[in-house]
Amino acid sequence: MNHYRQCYFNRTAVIKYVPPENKKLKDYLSQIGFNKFFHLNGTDIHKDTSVELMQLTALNPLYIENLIILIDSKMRLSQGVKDSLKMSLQEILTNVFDHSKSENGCFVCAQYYPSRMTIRLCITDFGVGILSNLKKKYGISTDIAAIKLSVKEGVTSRPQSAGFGLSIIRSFLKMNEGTLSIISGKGKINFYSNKVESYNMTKGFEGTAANLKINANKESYYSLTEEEYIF
Amino acid sequence: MIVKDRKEFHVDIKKMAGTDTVSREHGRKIRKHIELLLKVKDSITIDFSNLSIASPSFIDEAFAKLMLKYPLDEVRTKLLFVNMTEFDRALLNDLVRARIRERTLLEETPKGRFQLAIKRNR
Repeated sequence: MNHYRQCYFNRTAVIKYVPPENKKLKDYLSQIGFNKFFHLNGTDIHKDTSVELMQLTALNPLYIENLIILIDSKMRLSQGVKDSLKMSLQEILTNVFDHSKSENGCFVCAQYYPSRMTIRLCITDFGVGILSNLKKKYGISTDIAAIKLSVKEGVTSRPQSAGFGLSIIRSFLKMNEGTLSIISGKGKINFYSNKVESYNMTKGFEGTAANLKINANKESYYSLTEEEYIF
Repeated sequence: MIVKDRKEFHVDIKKMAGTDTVSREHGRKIRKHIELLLKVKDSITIDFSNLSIASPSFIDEAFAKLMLKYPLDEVRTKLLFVNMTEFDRALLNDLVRARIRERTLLEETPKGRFQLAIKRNR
């Protein structure tokens, strides 16, 4: 039987979760500052290769710059990877603040593995989810369909045309042989460079989480277009 | 911004926007300014000195969306993008092509042509 534990933020209960039994997973949550952030009187042991959990209530370019400087100081990233990292973070955060209607903003954490030259980024909000934003405009009814649609070029909940960010991140990660995982409501999709895996989860997640795995040793500059430049 | 002569204009994005080069809202402010300049100037230099943008939302809203309102030739003739990072230039060109594709699709239907006409008259 699952034993739920309540998570608090600013002393208000925000989500319930099942604490992991796996020790590695427990330790990992501790490393990224999960207990300190979400448990009353919780404490953590921060590890050098993780970027502590941070709540953002607005787009904060300075935080993004500093996060990249921090990871760069440990891994010596190429300019292309730094730019791609910045683009991915900025674009997902823009989506959160434009569409999620999350009362608590969002939570960002990162992990880097210098020996494997891999970076993992996670951005989570407790907002309305992707389906809620797209179902009316596009006539869809499942979380999986909404997530799939959200990474297509030109898809947006706005009345005006927009919606290139996630499709560009998806394309970049395809070239980079990285992974984009999105969880929203009861849907979870892993977009790998050569395949897509979809899961219908029995327990829904009230909000959206994006998880990016970037290969920092791939010189995959952002250059989607092979056509001649116009400008 | 430095006025070179009556028909030329220099827009320094860093001086104009500071760190506000991330969101669509930030991009919209720049586009509105460029649209005013396009009416009166023959040549507008957009300078990205000391700036790395890396934001598809900003670049799309500020520059690529001009493709829905103005002919490509006019924008190409009048706008000069200088001192862009390689990454930002790739992003700009990719988004411009996406907007040109969108315009081509809109031009195929009466509803689309109507939407484009509204944009042009704004």
